Amino acid sequence: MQFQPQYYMPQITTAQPTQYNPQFQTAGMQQFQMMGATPQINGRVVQSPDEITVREIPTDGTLALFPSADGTCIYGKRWMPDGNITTMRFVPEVQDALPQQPSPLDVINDRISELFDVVERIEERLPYEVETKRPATTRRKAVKADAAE
Amino acid sequence: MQPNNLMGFALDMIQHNPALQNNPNAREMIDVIKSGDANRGQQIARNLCDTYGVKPEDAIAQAKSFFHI
Repeated sequence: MQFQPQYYMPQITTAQPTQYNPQFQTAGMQQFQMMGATPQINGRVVQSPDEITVREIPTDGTLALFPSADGTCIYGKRWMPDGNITTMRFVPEVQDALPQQPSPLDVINDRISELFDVVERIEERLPYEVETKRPATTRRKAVKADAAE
Repeated sequence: MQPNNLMGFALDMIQHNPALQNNPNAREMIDVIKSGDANRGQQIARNLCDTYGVKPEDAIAQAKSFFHI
């Protein structure tokens, strides 16, 4: 990588020391104010963090964000006052799977089963035999089928 | 140009650059230069060289070239 000493003086990249004058400063200030009027997020989508270059990171210490193309994480990079660049890695928070809610039909089936249990217990306590055309399991199935419809 | 004059010229140029006036990191580095803390300044310079992947000797040579020293 080619080092350019004008890195800390981006507004005077073409200025020679003998050409330095206040007018240049004024123009630079106007340009800076115009840039500051539209805040934006620095960064781009990257395949890997290795492809992020030093010059893509703002020198003023603001965070540049580089989402990975596969969506697994976002790399955050910023210049520190000591001349180093720190890197952060933001990983999506994994949401715990919600417990499966029983469907309305399941609720009805359970309720029917409870009622049949109650009826059968009552029938067992009766002093006489209850004659039914169908066995208890068949009756349950028939009632549940009707409920499903 | 004398070293002190050059230092003052460079510092003046850096301090009056509007882009750097609004740059917190640059302000902090300028404060280090103004404080005269050579060790701290050298450490920052070495960190910058490491970050840019350039040898300190090459950086000095390019800086000298920039200032026509």
